[in-house]
Amino acid sequence: MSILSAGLSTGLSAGLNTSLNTSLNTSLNIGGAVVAIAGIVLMVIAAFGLFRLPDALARQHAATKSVTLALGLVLIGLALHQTGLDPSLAGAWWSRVAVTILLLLLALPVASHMLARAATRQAFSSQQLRASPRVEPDAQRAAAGGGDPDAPPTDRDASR
Amino acid sequence: MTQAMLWIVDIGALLALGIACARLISGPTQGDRVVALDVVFSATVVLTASMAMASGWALFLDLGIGLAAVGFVATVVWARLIDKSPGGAS
Repeated sequence: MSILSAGLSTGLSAGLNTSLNTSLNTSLNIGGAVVAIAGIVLMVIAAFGLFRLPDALARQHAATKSVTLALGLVLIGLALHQTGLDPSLAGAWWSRVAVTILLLLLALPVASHMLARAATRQAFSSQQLRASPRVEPDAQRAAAGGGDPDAPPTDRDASR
Repeated sequence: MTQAMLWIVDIGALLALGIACARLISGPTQGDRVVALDVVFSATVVLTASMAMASGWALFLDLGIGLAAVGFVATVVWARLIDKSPGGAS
């Protein structure tokens, strides 16, 4: 990592010092700020979606994908801004940002897939657990042949 | 301009952190709590990157890498815990 960082740093700083001028640095500053602010707006929208959506799977859908994109946008935007500010730190920033984004892209799909699978299994089992005692008396009543549907509720029905 | 951008990024990250903490406390199911923990870790990585830019030390980005790895491990372990636990318990 340090060798890569040093190589990237010297290469980028030499290139930026010789061939680039201050207007490009200003445009890097402004572009990095725009990308970072777009990313943070997306992260706030994802957090509001986490708070407002009605379903557990819908909340996972809102949180995982867009937060990954938002975090990548913020990190790339801050690295662009730092490159425009101080090109001698650009190598250290870009190598660490690349490692972070690679780790996110490897880890977050696995984590969200395991999470969605666990939530689906849990919701399915609890739904069956909740649905079975209500279905059972109706089936017994229909099998006994009779029993008016306007019968007063039993204790099990009242406790539902 | 750098300070204005860092203010906007920090306020947005703290807002997302607060909303995710509210969902983390009041989540009806365990899956909501794990997703909220994921958002909390992402907002914290943004805060470390902002701290690295504000202080001029790129060392804080290594903290971000460590936080991302710890968040991945926490999410996977909690998801496996939900998966192995008997169903019905919210």
